[in-house]
Amino acid sequence: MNVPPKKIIGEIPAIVTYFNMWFLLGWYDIKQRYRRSVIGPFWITLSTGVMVAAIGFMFSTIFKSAIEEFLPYFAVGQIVWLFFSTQINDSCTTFVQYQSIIKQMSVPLSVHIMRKLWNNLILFGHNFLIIIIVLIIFHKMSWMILLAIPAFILILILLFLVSIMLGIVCTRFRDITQIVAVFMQLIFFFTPILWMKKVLAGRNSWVSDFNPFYHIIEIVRAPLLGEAPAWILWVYMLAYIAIAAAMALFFLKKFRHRVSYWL
Amino acid sequence: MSLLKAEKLTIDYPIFDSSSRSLKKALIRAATGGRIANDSRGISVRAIDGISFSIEHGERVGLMGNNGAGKSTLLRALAGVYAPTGGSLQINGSVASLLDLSLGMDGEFTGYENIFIRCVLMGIPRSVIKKHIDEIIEFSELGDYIKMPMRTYSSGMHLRLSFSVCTAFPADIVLMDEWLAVGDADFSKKAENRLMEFIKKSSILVLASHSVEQVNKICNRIIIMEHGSIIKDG
Repeated sequence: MNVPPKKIIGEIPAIVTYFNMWFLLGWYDIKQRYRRSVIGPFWITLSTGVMVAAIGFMFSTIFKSAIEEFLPYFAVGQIVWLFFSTQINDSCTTFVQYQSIIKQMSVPLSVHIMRKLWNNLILFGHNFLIIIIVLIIFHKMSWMILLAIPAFILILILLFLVSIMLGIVCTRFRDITQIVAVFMQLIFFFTPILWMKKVLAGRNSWVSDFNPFYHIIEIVRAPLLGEAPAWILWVYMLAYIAIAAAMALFFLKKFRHRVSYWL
Repeated sequence: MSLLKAEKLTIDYPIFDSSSRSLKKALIRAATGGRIANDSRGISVRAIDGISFSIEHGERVGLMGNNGAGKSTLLRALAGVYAPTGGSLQINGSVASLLDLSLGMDGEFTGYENIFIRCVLMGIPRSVIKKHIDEIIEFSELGDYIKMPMRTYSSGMHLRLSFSVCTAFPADIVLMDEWLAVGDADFSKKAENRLMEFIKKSSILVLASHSVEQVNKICNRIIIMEHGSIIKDG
């Protein structure tokens, strides 16, 4: 039965106590979206696959880099980016999307965020097939891949915290949703995903050196491509998480009870 | 022990139009120090105006009043949706809110899947759902329709299913907006019994209703509201 709202910040333990709720509802969100489709969410795999192959071939020609170097690089970066940016964009509309629930019963906000994150994680899982295929084709499989797991967990934590913050802010100020969308689009071009960091070759290399989005992508891309990520990336990630946690807690503390009024 | 206790409970709704929700307005407001934009705090509506009451174990409260008196807002506050903007509200016990029976249910899913959706929203663990699911299906009298997508249901079938789910798991505090009447003569008799049984197992009932007759029949305490205040309690 619904538990009345807690006075203390019960949002974090709620992830565990409400596991059933976000797990099932997030899963059903995907099921609902692909109902009556024969291959279901594998449409995602297919469309991403076609895109990665086409752009991979084309840009390796344009940049005159070897396909066996560029295509895996692009495939991994693009798919991780897709997950990251979709979650960021979706987080802005999460509370608005689930407002029928928020306005009827008391559920911790983190549960709705987890539902959305789980949703995007399932889609990422379908896209991950492409990464595996690409790595096999280009013989990039190595034990280094295991390092991608802790890196990815850090990304999940970061995403969760940022999503809470954005979810709250965007429910109050609906324009920020659009600003975030434009921003993420722009960031894509400033982050080495479609192009390799070495093409900057010293000139303007600050664009990637001080780009948090580069650090976030690179920390999982490097191990997936068989290289250990630079140790400084772990430091950066932990710093981002610390900042995001402070901000998420601040917003939760201050505005957690206001969200239902803003819907 | 279950308890609902309000002290000087106040609930103000902020009213947003597209302009006050926007960032631009907020930025201008910040830049002008709120002097030029005299709507700096925005408009708000006081739905509940400093009411105090205490509802204890065994009480069946009928909440009466005209439209817009604040009954629904109070129910939602008791459900934990709206936190008090003034005063305090204490809720001890698990809350079953029968305000929206089909909350979360989706036409694309089968009745069976929708039972899971609805139960999970009520916070029922999977193992408990599995134990009760046969009883829920049987009570709803849907038979083989339970395996069909819910969009194929008539509105009566829809209601029967959501009613069966929502009344399957007793809670300490039951919140209801109007007495539930479900289905045709036969089913409605059965449903009435189930609902009475459900309420008997609860500790507190708060029923918002326009029907004096219904409230007199069910409740042992009547609270009458007007413009967000309590004008009669007893």
